[in-house]
Amino acid sequence: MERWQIIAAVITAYLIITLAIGLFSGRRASKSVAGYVAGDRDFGLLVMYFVLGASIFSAFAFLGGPGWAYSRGAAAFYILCYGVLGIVPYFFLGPKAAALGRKFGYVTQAQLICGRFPSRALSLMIAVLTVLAFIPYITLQMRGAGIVIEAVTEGNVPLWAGALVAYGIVLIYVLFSGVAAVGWTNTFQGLFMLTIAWTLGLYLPISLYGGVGEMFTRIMAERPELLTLPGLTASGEPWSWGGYSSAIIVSAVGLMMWPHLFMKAFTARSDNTLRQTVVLFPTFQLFLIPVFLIGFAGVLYPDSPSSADFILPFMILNAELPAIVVGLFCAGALSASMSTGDSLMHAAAAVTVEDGIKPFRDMSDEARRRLIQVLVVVVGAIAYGFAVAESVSLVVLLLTAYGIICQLAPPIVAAMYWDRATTTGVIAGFAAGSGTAAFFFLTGYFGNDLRPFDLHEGMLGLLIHLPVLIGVSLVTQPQPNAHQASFTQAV
Amino acid sequence: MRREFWESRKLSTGKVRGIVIGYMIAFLLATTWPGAMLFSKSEPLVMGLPFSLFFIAALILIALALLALLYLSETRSPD
Repeated sequence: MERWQIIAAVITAYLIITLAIGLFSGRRASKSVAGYVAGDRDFGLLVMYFVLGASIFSAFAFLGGPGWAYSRGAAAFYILCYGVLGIVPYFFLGPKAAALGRKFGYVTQAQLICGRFPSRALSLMIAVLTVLAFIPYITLQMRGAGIVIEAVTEGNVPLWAGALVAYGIVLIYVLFSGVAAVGWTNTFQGLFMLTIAWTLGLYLPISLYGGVGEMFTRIMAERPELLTLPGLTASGEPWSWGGYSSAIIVSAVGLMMWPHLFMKAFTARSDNTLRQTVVLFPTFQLFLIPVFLIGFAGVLYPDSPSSADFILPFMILNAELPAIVVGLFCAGALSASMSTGDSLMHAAAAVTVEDGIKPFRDMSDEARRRLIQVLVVVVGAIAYGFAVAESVSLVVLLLTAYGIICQLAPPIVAAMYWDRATTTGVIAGFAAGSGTAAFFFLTGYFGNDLRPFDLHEGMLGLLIHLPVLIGVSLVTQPQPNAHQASFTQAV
Repeated sequence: MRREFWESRKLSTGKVRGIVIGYMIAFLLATTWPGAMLFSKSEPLVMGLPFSLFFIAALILIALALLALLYLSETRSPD
């Protein structure tokens, strides 16, 4: 048996176990939309912890994180900073959203927003923008899986086939078991990739440099610019403080607004489960540090991969490890991709049906669940199409996706906490914020960067969004007391 | 045991919330411009990590401890 065949066999074993867990976990879920999308509101702490953890340990963190540390140095630290800032508001928002979900039967966040601010246009707008934001995200996860498989099998399994097999499996268990499969496979995959991140993150610096401290001492001597905040840009120029700081702020605001994460408030068994998840979430930020060490270990390595995103499989393959160990490492990287991708595909389909279609057409619970399943396949196919058709602009699109997603934060907070907010105000704010973000993105994309201080377009959007939301709300008719109180006074 | 300890210290829910919110604001100020410029140096190495990375890791650890405190305070039985 050749080396790559042993590696492929280990990966195959991993994929079979994942599939088995995914199929097995759906047996008990009810056949309703609440069962398929919100797991009958019965996720315990272990599962919730890894579902949220998987969001941090996506292909972006597992391949992009080391890639950033390797090529952009300290710039990667922004990924560490935003997680804690982003999760803490959820300690209060999460249980409140969960209470409203139980009270009114919500399974998506647009339902919550539009419950307080009744508007089918708003619901459709949110659905379209979230799905637009989801597609590049899913595409990146699929490419990540394909990249890993192609690299470790020495090209014997090409990117398109690797992504197809990995995501074919994701598709089967998401179709069959819904969010229950997402929860339980994420738990398995989470344990798996944590082990791998720590082992490899400590093994590489020690075997190549004799220790973590020794590695950084050498980087400091030879490439000091890498270790000084805010690090470098993709082209190797020093990054701006405006770019670094606003990346933290936009990511923190946007983090829990990603529908696949926010919607998990509706899956938790109890409010205390949600709170415990928030408390434990920063541990996942700390687990990212060894992942960065993998990237830093590549900095002074004599050879370099074809692109910075390949640094993790590149270092694994060059570490002279036994084939079985390499296989396990790669399964860990696949876990990172698949555990985020399944959640994304599931949420994108659920949002399309619940927020984009249901408000306009009366459908039975059964029909909606069927339609969500059909759309999981459609979303998967579209993302797969992009994933195999090589396209650089996707990374740019993902950064912009955060700019759109963070515009969901003001309506969510207003819906639950501000009695004076009005439907007109929320629509105006959301439209103005998203429009501003899109404007600065598009002008920059076509070569004319108008952003002041290199600020992220999502932050510029928020700076317009908030005054419009507040201003328009104050000049329009307040909502009836009983209506707004059923939201702001809940819990 | 722990619960009684915190109750004996008379940390009201409101106070703990205040501490956590205050810490988060400090976290934001220390990790973004201009606060982050104070901690952006790579030397000295602490536990093998460059100072800037160690500093962020320490901030996260403290956040973890404060969040645990917040949880205890929010879920304890009303006095």
